[in-house]
Amino acid sequence: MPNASQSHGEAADLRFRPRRRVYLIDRVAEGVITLGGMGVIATVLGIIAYLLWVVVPLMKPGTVEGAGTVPAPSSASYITLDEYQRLALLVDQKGVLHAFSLVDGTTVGEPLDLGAYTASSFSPDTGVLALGHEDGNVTLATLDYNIEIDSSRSVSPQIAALAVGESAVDGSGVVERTDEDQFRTVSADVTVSDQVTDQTESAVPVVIDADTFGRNRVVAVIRNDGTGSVLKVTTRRSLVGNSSKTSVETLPIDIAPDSQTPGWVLLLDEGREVLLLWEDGRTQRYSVSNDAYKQTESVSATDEGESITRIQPLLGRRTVLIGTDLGRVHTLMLTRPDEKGDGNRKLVRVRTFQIEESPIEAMAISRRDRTFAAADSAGEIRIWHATSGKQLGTTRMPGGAASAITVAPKLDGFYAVNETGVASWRLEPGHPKATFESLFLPVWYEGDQAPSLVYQSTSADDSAESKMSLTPLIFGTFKATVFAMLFAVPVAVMAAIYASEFMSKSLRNKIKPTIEMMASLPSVVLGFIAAMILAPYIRDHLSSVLVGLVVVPICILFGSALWPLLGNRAWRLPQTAQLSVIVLAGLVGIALSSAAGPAIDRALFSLHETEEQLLTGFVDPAQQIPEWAEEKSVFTLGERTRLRGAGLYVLDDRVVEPIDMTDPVIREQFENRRETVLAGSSPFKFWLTGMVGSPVAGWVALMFVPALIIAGFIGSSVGRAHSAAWMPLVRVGGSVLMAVPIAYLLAFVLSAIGFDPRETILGTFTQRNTFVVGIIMGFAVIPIIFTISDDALQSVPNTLRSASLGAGATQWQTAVRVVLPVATSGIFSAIMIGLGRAAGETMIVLMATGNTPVMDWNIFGGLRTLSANIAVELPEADRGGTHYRVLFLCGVVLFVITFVVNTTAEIVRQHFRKRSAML
Amino acid sequence: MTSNTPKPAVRTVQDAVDTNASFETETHSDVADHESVLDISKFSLWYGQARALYDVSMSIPRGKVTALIGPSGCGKSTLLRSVNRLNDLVSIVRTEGEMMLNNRSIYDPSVDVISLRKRVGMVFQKSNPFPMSIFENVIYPLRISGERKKSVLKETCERALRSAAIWDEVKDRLNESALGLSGGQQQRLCIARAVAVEPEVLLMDEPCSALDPIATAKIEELIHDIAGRYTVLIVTHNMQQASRVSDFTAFMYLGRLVEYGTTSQIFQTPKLSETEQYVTGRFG
Ligand SMILES: Nc1ncnc2c1ncn2[C@@H]1O[C@H](COP(=O)(O)OP(=O)(O)OP(=O)(O)O)[C@@H](O)[C@H]1O
Ligand SMILES: [Mg+2]
Repeated sequence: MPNASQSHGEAADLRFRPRRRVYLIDRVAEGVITLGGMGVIATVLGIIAYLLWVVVPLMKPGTVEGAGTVPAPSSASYITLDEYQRLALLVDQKGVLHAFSLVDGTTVGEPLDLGAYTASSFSPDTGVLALGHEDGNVTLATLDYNIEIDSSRSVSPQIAALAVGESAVDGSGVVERTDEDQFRTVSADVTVSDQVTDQTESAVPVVIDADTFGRNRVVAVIRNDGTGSVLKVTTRRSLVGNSSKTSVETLPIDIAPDSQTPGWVLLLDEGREVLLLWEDGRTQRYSVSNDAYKQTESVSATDEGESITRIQPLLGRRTVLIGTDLGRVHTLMLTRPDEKGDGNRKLVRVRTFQIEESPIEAMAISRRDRTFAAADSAGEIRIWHATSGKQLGTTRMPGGAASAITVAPKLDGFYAVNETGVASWRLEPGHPKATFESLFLPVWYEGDQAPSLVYQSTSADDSAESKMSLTPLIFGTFKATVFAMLFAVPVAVMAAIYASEFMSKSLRNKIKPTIEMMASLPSVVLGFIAAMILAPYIRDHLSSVLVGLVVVPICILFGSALWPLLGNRAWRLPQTAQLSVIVLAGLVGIALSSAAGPAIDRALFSLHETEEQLLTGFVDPAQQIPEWAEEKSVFTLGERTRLRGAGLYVLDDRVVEPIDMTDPVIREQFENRRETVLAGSSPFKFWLTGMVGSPVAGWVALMFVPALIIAGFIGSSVGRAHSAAWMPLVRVGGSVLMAVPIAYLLAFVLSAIGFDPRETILGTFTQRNTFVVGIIMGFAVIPIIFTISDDALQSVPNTLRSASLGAGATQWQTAVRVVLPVATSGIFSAIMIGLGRAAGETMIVLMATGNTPVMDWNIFGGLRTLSANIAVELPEADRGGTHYRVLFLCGVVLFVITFVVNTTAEIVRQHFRKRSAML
Repeated sequence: MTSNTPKPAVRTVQDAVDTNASFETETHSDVADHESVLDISKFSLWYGQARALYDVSMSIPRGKVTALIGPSGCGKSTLLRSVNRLNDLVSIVRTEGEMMLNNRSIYDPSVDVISLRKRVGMVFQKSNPFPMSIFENVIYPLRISGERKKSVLKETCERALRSAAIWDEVKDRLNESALGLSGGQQQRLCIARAVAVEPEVLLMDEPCSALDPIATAKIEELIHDIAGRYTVLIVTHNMQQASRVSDFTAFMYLGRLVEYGTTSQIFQTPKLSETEQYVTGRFG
């Protein structure tokens, strides 16, 4: 017997020994799994690395590389060059114009003598050169280039010998062989106009400035007799022949008498403004009026004890660079008319750049953006971007100070001239507009009254710059997320509590998968529903929807309060019965609110007849405007309320008063207009625009929910001793009734303090708004919050529930006092994960908002999120450009946000695991 | 002998089980000598289709310790949970028969379950302190009934902890988490929580099964001390424990209450052989 059993055992051993194949499969599986896991990690790291690789160059400065020196034909006052950097034009101190090759310094053609000058100016972007002569005349010249590309050129032997990429001077231009059989010829195109003068004056010009604005050339000139004038030169080509007619229009500059002759004159903003600057920094602004330029402002462009050495307007002539003897460059900017204040323009100093200590000798601007170069007397050269303040490059002039400097038209190089010749540098500007500051912090854009956070990636015209602050997008992301969470969290968490603590198991097993299935609804479908169904519906039934948000929960509370009236039989009824009562109550709530909504709207926000007149346009400009309101065009809500006290309103930035309606004809017209314009519309929406109505009504509506909560608290503490079945019903009813006076009280207090809800989370209604996004995106994240919260609640051990119930607690007390505290961290992490989802959600916000990157909390206004911004703009962004990289930065920021949110959730969950392990 | 003739009662327990019928309990006469606080008559319970209790009838003497013994799955816990209607929460449960606490029906529709549970405290097999401070744990039953007076809460806490014989161990750490206590301390804390509202009946479902002998001894001593003030109904698998702590013992088998009498009668002079076999460890 023992033997037999032993042999049995051996046989069994053999039988159960794992086969080779099993080992093999195990090996292979291990390999595949490792590979997969590593692959995932590598991919994620790769994506992050790629994102960073695209984004990091944004923050880098540009690169500057010396490209040699060529001899210059003479010393220079001004220098300019063509876009291929082949041919340069140079104006020397005697008024002679030289053309020479930048390749080897050979002069091209004959120098052109424009005459000795006493005052001069040159605008690099338009090429307008102005020279003021001793006799009071002004020569205007335009320096430009002709570029010809041809293949069938008859070539001289010298040119024929050129290799591809080489160039040489030939006749009147510089020729380059760009391809085997293709040549590009750059030649100077200089037009010198007749000398223009203001016939009445013959004093010697001291300072001058000229530029082309549209079809006119405008010259500002100050003479040695203390007079100044602005000349508008219009040249009309006659249709026949080559003749042209030039007409000059002169407006004097009313220079304050007995002031010294200024050091500089400058045309600003298309010649509408003229700036006079003195060496000590004094700056006067003159604005055009009917018959003269009148002084409108006087400021100091420099600090105490600092004097101006050079000035240079930036591209677009709205900002002036002020170079000083302390080696600094200030930007002095002319703002647009101030809409919020007195409506005036102002000169403001925005930034200061510093080279070293030596005085600024020369400055040059880019013709594409607000980049500029500055050189000091020690030969130091810096390149900066004026708006962002980013330093793009730094270099040193060989052989001391440069007398003139110029930036290549394509911003791919710059040149400086001194006695040693023309030195050149290749410039790779990088991303001048992108700095940490310009991407995240307020930036003072040209023309603005103050620094601001703006996202506007594509500008309307060239001289306006694109604005790339990500803060409005981050704000939009948060705004969308916050409103979605405000909707989703209460619903999802309550549903999870109900499902986990109150629902019967069998019902729960049906409901949970259904809700989880909601999560698989594609977000584009939700976005479609939001944009095509919900948004129009809310537009048409706004008041009903808002009322429903309050009334439906109240009705459900009523429904649940009715339940105890059934007494102890209730717990024997199937749970579906209870659920149907609640659903029924909800339906009653919906019906009630759709009926009551418009009525409440009309009652709360009812329009006075004068307000109706305003909305239908039956108003006239006000006869008597209070003193404080004169000259104002933009009114805050508080000021509008003040005006309303005097019976006045604001329409289209003007103070108006209702017209007299006693005339029956006007009356009838008004009645007709009212029928067409106002009938059937929601007064609430008019109220939202801020044109009509007092803040009180809005506060009442807004404060109703807090009032309800306060009343609920009071209600629940009253009659604790009573356990009668009708008690809950009384509590709910009483709380609702009590909420009304509380809401009114709060509303009056808040309005009396001077708050207006329209300045906070309410504002003008747009169809695709945050409210719609909140609801639909809320729906998108409800399933995940519900599921994870439910899991967290379910993981609370049942022994705790039994203990609590056994001690005589109700199910509600058990849920709130025992189960919820244990599950809090789980629910918190559920909320955080939902938050991460909402922050990254793209399609819904893309489709359901207007994608306007505004920064206010208006729930009825639009927004633009980081993700939607990427989706909208990436297709049109130039690969590798600043915009493209900024969009990638949006992705990085989004990644950081979701990473932080998810990590927080994970940390909390780990904590939660440790804690629940103790139970 | 067919299954549709439940009366007269079948002879043996096994017969009853075979015919799915109830069994007439062998009740020793001494039980009737005592004033009863809880009267159970013909109480049956179903979990869905499965019957867990068969016409259980017994009366629990006031101020005494009554032990419920029997093999696993015989329905001891079910019977215990029926007394404070914790079974209500299981949706598939259906009951028949009556239970009277102080001559007032427990299962009458007019009964307020919440106040019933306050009069019937319960201690579970696995200690289940809430994740709150020791103080909050003990006064939890008062908190949920809305008691807010600090003095009342403090007084109750001390009294309950004293009667659970744990006051001296925790009096300095009342505000620490109850989860930091040892298993035996936690169980005594749960007893303190159960007696905080002075229940009339204290139900204990295997309160010592998760504890070491020393902790067990402490709990047994505690039960001994509080007997008299409270009526205790205790489920135990430990025969020695039953004989040590209880005045009366009821033996259950497969949903039937088989024999019920004083502890000495059940352990020394059982009337039925099944009881004898079980208490001597030869069966079950
Ligand atoms: N929630 C429930 N749903 C369905 N059946 C249950 C449920 N609880 C208990 N039962 C069944 O009821 C019967 C009695 O269970 P009970 O827990 O009362 O036994 P017990 O005597 O306490 O056993 P033990 O000594 O192992 O604790 C068992 O057959 C059990 O399977
Ligand atoms: Mg049990």
